[in-house]
Amino acid sequence: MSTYKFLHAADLHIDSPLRGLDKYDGAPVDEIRGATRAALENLVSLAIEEKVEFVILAGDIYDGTWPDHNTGLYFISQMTALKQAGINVYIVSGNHDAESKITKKLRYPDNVTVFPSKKPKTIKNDELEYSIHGQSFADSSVSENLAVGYPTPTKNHINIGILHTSVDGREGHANYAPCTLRDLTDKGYDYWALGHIHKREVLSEDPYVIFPGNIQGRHARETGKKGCTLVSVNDGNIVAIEHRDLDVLRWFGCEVDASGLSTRQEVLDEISLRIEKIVDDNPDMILALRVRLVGNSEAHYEIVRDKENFFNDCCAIGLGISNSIWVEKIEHKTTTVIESTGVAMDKEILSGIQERANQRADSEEALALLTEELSDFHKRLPPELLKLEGDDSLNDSVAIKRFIMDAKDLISSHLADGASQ
Amino acid sequence: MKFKKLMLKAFGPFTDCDIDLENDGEADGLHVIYGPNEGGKSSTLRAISAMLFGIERSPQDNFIHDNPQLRVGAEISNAGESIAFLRKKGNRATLLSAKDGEVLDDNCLNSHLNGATKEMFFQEHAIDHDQLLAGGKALMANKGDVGQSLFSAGHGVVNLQNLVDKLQTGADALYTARKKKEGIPALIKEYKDIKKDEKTVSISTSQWTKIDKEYRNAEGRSAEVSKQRKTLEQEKNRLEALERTIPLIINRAHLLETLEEFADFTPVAMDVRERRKDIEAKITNIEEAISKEQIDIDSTEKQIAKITIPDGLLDNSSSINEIHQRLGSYKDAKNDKIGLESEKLSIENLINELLNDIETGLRLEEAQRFKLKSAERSEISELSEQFVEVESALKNSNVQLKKLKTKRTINEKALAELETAKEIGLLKRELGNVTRKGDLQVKLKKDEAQLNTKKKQLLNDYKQLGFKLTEVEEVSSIKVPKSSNIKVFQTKFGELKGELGKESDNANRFEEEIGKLKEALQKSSIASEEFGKEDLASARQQRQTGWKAVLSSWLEGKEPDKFDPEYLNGLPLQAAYERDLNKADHIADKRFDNAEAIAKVDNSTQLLEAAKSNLASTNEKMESLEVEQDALQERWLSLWKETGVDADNPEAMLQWLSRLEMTNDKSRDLQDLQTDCEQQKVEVSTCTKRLLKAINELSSEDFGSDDLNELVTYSGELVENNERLQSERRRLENQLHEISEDETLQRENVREQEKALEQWESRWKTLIVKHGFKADETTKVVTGILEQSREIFAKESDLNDKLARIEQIGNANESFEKELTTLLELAAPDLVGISPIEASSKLHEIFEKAKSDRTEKKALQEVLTKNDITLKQEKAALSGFENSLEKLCQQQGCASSDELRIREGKSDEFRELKSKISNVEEKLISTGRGNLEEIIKAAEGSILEDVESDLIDIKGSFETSEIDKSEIDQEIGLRRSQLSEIDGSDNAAKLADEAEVLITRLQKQSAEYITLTIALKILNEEIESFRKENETPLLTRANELFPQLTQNSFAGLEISYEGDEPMLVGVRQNGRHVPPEGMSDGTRDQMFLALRLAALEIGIEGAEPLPFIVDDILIQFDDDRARATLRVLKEVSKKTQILFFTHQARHVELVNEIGGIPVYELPDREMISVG
Repeated sequence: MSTYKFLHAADLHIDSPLRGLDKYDGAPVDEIRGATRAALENLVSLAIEEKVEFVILAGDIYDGTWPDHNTGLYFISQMTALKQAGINVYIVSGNHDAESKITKKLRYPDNVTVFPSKKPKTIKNDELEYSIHGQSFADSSVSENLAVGYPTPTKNHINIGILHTSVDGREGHANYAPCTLRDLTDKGYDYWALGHIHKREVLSEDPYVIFPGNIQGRHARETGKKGCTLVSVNDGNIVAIEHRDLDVLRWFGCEVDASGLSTRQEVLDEISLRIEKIVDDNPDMILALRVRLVGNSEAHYEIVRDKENFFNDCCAIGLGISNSIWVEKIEHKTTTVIESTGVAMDKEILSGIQERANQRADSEEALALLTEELSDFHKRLPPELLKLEGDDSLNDSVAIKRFIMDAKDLISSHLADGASQ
Repeated sequence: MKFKKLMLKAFGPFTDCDIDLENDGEADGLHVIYGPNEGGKSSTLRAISAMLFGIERSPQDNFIHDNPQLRVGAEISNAGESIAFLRKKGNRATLLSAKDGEVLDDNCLNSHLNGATKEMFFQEHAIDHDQLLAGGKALMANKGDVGQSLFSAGHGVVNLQNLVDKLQTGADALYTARKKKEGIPALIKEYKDIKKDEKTVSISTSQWTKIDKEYRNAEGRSAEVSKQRKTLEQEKNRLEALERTIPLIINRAHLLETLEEFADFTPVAMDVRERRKDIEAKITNIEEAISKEQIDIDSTEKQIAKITIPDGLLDNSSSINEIHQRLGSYKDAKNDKIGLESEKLSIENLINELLNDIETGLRLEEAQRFKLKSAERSEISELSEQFVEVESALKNSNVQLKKLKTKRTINEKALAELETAKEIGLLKRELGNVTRKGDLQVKLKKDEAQLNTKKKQLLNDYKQLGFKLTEVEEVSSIKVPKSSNIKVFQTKFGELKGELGKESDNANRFEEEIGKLKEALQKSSIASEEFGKEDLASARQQRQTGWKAVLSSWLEGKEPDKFDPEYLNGLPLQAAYERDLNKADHIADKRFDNAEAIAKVDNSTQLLEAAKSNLASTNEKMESLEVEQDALQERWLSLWKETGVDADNPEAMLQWLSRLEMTNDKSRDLQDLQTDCEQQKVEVSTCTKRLLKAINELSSEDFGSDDLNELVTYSGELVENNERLQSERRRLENQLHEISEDETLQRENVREQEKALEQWESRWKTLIVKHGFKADETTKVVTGILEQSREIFAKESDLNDKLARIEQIGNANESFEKELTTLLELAAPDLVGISPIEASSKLHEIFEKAKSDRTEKKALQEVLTKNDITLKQEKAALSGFENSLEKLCQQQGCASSDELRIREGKSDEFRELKSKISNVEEKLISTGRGNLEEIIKAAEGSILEDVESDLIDIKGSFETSEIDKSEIDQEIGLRRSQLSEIDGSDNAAKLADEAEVLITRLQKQSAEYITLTIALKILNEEIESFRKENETPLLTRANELFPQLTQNSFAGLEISYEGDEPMLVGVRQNGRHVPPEGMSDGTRDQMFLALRLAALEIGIEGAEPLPFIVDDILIQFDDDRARATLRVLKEVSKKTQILFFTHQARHVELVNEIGGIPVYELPDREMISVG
């Protein structure tokens, strides 16, 4: 019986840019250029170091709309490096690859097998006794259940299925090649190498059904460690799976509760402590941090009065702790003690402002009017710029509502201070 | 909420200090808290902040009590509820019950504070001096903007304009539609540029596929062309080989034919020619050498024969050399002797001269008496020096004495001539008195000039007011109507104008209505056809008349033609009745058909009539009003007639009146000035008199002027002159006294010096007589003789040296001449008898010549010997070579060397032929392919011309393919380089990264811009809304407070609508508007205070108010204003508790003056400095 290792990775999205990072003095700009490429190079090095038998890539090698053919050629160069080390590569195309024009014209070296999209195919290795089954996406949105059509397992072989799917539908991901976990576990395979979901997840251990996640987080919603899964086969049995990190920059959310903190400085101190902890947990790694300030705090107005300055102070704190920290953004979700006490503030200075702002935010008409008033400005921006994180848009009512709340905070913070600073 | 008690338990400088604000169980009203030192007051204010909102993290009030011991608290009451608490320092659980020290909920004060934070409390419920100033400034910055001013004052936000500007500037910096090169638009451009670059560097798959395909095509074509070229090259090579071999083959055949001619010939050995030539050359060389040698020998022998050497010379060589060497010394000595002898003579002459100088005919031996010893010489020289000293001192003293005498004479004369000074005490006092008063006359002239100018201005002012005057004073006699009287007229005119206006409006309205109605009626078509109600009524009336006629004709038998001919209008009765019947029916039908339209017309017609009647009555009313107005105007003008002023309307005349008042004020000022001038005049005249009196006492002369300035100048001169005379006299008397003292001193000196000279003379005579001088010789003569004698003795010793040397030289030269004569007799007798110097040098010359001849002869003899030996050797070698040549000829079977030469030639020809054949064959093998036979066989049957023509063809084809290949190679190169450029680089990806950074920044800035824009909108709306809601009550109250605060300098506050925007202005008692920027700083502060207090009062209506803290706002107020402000505060404090802090004792006095206000004095303790 045979003994070997293989690697399972997915969702490389080579040359997809990192989103949401604004440059500032001291930010580790050069280090994060070409992060997806660096992660792929880490993958190739790992495969060679671990002397794996083969590498599985479960779809979405490219970003669907990315037009530069250089990206494809670069990928071939990495596959050639694996070929020189005698390592085979098995690929199924995902929705992005199907959309990509690059994929169709590339000539891969002969160690690379791309599974066909018309029907599933099986590659057998009788010497090491394994069979790999796979089917690629024919176009960018495959709505039928591909798993159902996968072949029956080969007897006395380790059977591995490669599939780009969202299994039962996962939040934030298009529901392509839908199937149930049951469809997969019932197939009689030993290992399902899945792709499409960017978060690492082990759906089942008997048999193994695994999303390795993407190899490099690209924005603030792809947080935590990113990499691939190293699988060890001993005497014809999968004996171990092991997650290995490949990323060169790691995203973290850092939620700081400012309740009970009464000054801006105290909040900054708390942020500093939290960042130190994250740095301790992730040594030698470039980190992009999104600080989320929550809680009901006396320091609220002091902070929102000059958000830019506060952001700069946070950046400085980050740089003070490590020169590999990039403070991506500060989400201001704190509230003021004044508003929250609920004590009526008849004729007091802030109540009028707050009421006015709240009225505007709550009225569809007022929002529509405001949107219309801002439309000249919106028209000046390139359309792709209007699109914000998630499904938000700079000119939709959700965003405008948020801006109204920010404006309210801004005025209140100055008025509460006598507007004298 | 109210403070009942402040408990400063352990805080700042305080220990257990309670301030009880309750008075009969009430804590309402104004409380003054007085801290005699500023620090104590500030600590109390901080204590209030600390008790309500917590002790600061790093307090400044722990210099007596440590942080953990700090305690400060209060007893407060709110809506009947009372709570007493203490605050300690810390983060949590800092509120303690004052009763038992139990921890209270930290939030338990919130409801009493209406949820206010510390900042908001001190903003809305406190005012200090800085805020007051800032508030005043803000009013100016707002430029009276009503909304901002009210909002600022209403909320204690003193810098609202700053916030509005900050938001606006922030938004503008990010985006304005106009600026395209800054902020967000600039970023957008940068972003678009990057996207463009990204597109440029990125290579699409289709581009890549196309290049790749073309590369592969070119590679295929290249392989094909290479194959063709290979075939062509082979054929070309074959033909080129033939082209080269065919001529060679023909040449070889010819050579072989020639070779047959040498069938039986044996050539001589290869080296024979060389050997022969070698021997012959050697023979020729040796023959030439022998003949040359012989010539050399003959010439040498001739040279030897020419040389002869004289006898005896060389044998005496050492003596000749020695004499030659000594010749130089001999010559020198001879010259030296001549010089020495002349020196000897000149010294002897010098000595004689010196001796004669001392004493004519004195001989050297006699002069020996002047040879003195060193001690004796110095004694003489010492005495000589002493003489000079003594003599010069005496001379000097006599000179001084003489000078003093002259000086005394001059001074005595000056004193005798000096004028006597006068007594000037009185004049000086009077002059001082005038000077202290300053330049009286100049000031008077200036004031008088000013008076005149002002008078003219004033007269002009009155004239401008319309008075017809020649002197200002005339005004006082003119009676001007009172303002109350004018106001009566103003009201009446106003009322009349109002009524007239109203009536005129009415008239206009009616005319307009009439116009409209007329237009409407004209428009209606029905109206023109007369279907009105009256038309119908009249038609029916007509019909009725007809019917009555018909009835009367019918029933009464009345003749139809008896009826009204006008009615019948020429018709028979029935026809006329029918006409009327039809007409009435027609009108009724039409009216029925057009009922609606007709109703309108009817209505309009009625309205028109009413309007016309209204218009008429309105016009009537207007006429009567105008009459009334004319009458009023007449009365108005008569009121002004007496003044001589042309009266304008009452409003203008009211203003005129206030202008007149101002002018009258000026007139009063002018009177003051005039009085002042007169007083000054009196003073000038008094001063003049007193000065004149003082002058007259000094001089009987009349001064001739009573101008004060001239008098002052003259007096000054008088005083100055007399003072100068007095001081000069004192100076001269002092000098004379000093001179006579000096003279006595100098006479004493002369006497002493004459005595010393006598003593010296006796010593001198004794000494020189002892050394042989005459007794009356002077010091100069004696020292001169001694000096000269010393020179003579020095020359004498020099002369003796010269004589000795002359003798030495004479002896040496004699011995040299003797030796030379002896030598000449021996070696060169010819030279005996000529002078020693010439003989000696000639002898040396012939001796040198003999020596060189001997050397030359010896060398020539050695050469001759060598030449003889060489000649013998050469002759032997020549015969050897001749034998060798003969032997060589015999070996080759030739009788002579000539025969041998011929055979050598033929052998050469034979060998050359053989070599040519072999060359041709070698060339064939090297150019053709295979061995010789194969090559010759391959060329068989080929003709050179054919081959050459084929070759041209094939070369052409080859060149064509060369071009093809080059083109294909270029194509391959191009495609390959294009492909190599597409190397998987991440240039496009890097640009995408950069673009992403810009997107992030743009979104961030856009969000900021939108937020700022919305913030501005909300803030402005809020300001406006506050204004709408509070404008009336706030201004009403401020309108009451402002006059109080300004002590009625202002009558109130108003909104002025004069400019583009409504403006908040102060109103003077005379109704004039003063905008904030036109007020003094103090008034503006009071305006802010009035608004602030008004807002405070309105804000607390209905709610349980928070106390109002006032901190030292009176610092810059004078007593009157301070008093006024305190009174206002006392009034406001009826509605809310006010704590008034001050550290000025004066303010406490003012408070006590007003009365009814409790004052709490803080303990006056030395502060401990905390750095």
